[in-house]
Amino acid sequence: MNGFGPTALPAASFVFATAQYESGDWDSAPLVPANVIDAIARYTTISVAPQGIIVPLASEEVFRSPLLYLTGHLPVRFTPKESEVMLEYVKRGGLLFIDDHNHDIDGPFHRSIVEEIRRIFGALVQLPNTHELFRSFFKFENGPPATSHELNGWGDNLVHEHLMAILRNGRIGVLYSNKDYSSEWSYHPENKKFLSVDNTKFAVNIVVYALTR
Amino acid sequence: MAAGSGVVTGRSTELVNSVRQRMQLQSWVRAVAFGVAAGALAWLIASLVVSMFWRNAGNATSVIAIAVAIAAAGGVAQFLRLRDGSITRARAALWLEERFPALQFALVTLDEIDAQQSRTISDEARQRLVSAVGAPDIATPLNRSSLNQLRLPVVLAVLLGAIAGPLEARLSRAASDRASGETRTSPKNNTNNANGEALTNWRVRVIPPAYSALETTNLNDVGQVAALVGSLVEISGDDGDAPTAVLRSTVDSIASISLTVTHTGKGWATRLTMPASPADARFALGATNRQLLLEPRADSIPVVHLESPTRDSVYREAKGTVTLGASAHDDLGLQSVNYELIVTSGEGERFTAKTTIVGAQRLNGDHEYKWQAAFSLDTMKLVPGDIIHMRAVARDRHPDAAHELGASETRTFRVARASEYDSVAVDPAPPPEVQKSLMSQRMLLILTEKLVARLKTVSHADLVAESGKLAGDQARLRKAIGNLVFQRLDGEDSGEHGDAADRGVAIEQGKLVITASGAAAPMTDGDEGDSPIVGINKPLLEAFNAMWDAASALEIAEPKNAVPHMKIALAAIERARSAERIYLRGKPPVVIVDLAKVRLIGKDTGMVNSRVAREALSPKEAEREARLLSAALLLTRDVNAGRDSLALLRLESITDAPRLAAALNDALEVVRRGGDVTAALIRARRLIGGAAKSDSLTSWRGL
Repeated sequence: MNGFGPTALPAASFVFATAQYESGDWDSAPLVPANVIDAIARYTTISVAPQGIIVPLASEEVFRSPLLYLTGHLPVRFTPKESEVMLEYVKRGGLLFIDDHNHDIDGPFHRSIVEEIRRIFGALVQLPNTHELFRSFFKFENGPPATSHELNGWGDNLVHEHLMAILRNGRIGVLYSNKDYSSEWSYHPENKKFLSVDNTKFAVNIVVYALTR
Repeated sequence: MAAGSGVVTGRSTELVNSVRQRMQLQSWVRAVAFGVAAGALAWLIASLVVSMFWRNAGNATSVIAIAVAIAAAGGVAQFLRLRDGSITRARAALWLEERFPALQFALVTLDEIDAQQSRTISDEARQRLVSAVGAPDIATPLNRSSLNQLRLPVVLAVLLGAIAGPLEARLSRAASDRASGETRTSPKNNTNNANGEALTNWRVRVIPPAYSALETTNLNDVGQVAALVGSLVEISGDDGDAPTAVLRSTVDSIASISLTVTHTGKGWATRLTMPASPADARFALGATNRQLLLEPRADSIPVVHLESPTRDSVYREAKGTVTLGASAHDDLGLQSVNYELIVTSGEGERFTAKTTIVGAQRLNGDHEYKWQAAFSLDTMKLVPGDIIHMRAVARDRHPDAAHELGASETRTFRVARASEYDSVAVDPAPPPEVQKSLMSQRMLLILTEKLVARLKTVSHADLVAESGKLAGDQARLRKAIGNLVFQRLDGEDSGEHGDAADRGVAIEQGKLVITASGAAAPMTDGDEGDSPIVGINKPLLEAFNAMWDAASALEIAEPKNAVPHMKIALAAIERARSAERIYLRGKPPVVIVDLAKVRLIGKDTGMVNSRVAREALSPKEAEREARLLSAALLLTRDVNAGRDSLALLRLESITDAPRLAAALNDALEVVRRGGDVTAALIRARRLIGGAAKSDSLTSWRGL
């Protein structure tokens, strides 16, 4: 881990973890972790590791991360072991953040991942835009922020008004977005200075929610 | 005589005693009856008062009312007992004398004499008294007296008891309901009044949805019904008024739904649809309630298993037929099954997906079904990089189009990209030489076979010319293959002109062979198998040699003999092309965030100090500044005068402003040299105010 792995950090450091699964293209947004880490460091005092890690979804390494990021373009089919680990991960209180990199309402990733989520966890429910996720750090009065891909009419040419979720005991266990934050946040953090408004603030809310709720 | 008098005395005593006992009993019963009536009245009044002034009394209402009733009953009974007093013999005798005037007080006298055991009366007189008493019929007056005495209290007791009992029970129940905050529901066995009869013997009829093909079920007087969601549940009852009915979910907090209860010829009936979540239907009739618990049974989605293909795969070429096999099971019966193929194309940000249905079959409610289908990869126009996702889908007979489908696990077949194993860091390269060689060799083979087919029609000169041309092409291709082999060995492509033996390959009679030194080289190390380099080069050597033979045959105009060698060369090139290769997979870029920089806690803190205005000069300094400016202006008109002014100012500054004096000295030196004095004067002016100039930009902060 080049000295930046979780073992080289204080035990309390938050390490951003990206899920690596057998099918599909799990590594389609390699710059998102760095950008999210940059946002956490920029706005919060959370002790955060400077580099994210990649954890195989079928391994118990997953349980070391309170937040797990999963994305892709292609149809997804989780192996029995991956399904088992994901279910156990959410049962133990982890937050699995899944983002559709296609931002299509009926895209191949969306169709397959929704089926897989329903098979493993049950049906997704619509997360109300008044949910505390949208107030956990920054306030998003209108719910999840729209991405430039939605506003520019890419993909399904829709602005998805809501996120979906699997709730367990009143807490979000699985957060599903087909707003394509994976594309929105996939740039080198050094280029954040060119943005008039930092579009990764919502990532801070997700991390803070995962760590505090 | 003594004996006869005793008999007479005993008769009168017996008569008086019987009357006395009867009157005593009558007095007790009357007191008790009045007590009961008073108790019932007190019970009723106490219940009303408590329920009016203590709305949340609950069960305390009954307790208080009973206590008050017992106290009132005991008090009234005791009062009457004390008022009436005890029934004495004289009182009983007088009561009889009153009812029988003919006795002429003979009984009273005789009883008094017997009580006093007086001997003053003669036997004759006693006998007359006994004769006067005789044997009166006391039963009739006693019964009449009892009727008169007891009629009123008994009627009151019964009447008030009959009124107070149910009324108090209702008041207590209302108080209990108020205390518990919900409607009281009594079990079936407690419905013992007339209204409750209508709720004790209802009938329940469950009519499943038509699509389920299940039979109608009749149930008698049940408290719970389990049925398929959407089933029609009919509840009907006889012998009573129609109750009110409300359907309420036991899971979510949706509002209650009132059910319409209709009167029938014999009683009442209502119906409802089995909801998706557990619920209870509550019926109320007068003071009696009863509930029917509704337990919905969901229509489970079909369970589907994809049995063939058994695993994912990667195709180099999208050719051939794929056979699909699957099995499905459903609790209520399957309506249709099919296979769903999703073909995804594209890469990066652009993907397209196309869905195709194959092997669709319509079923007739089978609970278990297995089916197969096949599709041809050739007809799907797949290109490298496409992925086929296959799964089996089954629909049950649920009529709702949004009802969930049963789907199997998914298998994927992928058509390999030619460059998919290349590292992303490698720039695109031209097609490998072996690829071009394959195409060229195939083309040469085709041309040669065409020439062979025309052997009988073509002239000898043309045959020699065309065959010679093919021989030249074959020789050039052979040389390209040779270069490829040597390039892989040492990076140079001049194999035929270099010392091939040094590289483990020797040219013998125009053909390449692996030499003994080459056997020890990486080309042939190991007995278990060849290294990747050898795995590729061996077929190429074989192709090279076959091409040599082919070219030789073509050169002497024997294309027919060249064809077998050319086919061997083509097959060898194909083997070389499909040999095992080892590629590196690309790695995503690694970005390590500089946390100190992001958090502005490094050298560059991002914080700047606020600037403060320079302090005003003291009068002395202001005067010196004015003199310096005057001297500077004077220098432009009269150098000597200006120099003198600067010299004078320097002298005055030596003691209290040595740095200013030094700066003025520098300026005077520049004036003496005849140079530009501007910079020196600026420095001197800054020193007047005590400000120091630094070449470092950061030092300017805070000025």
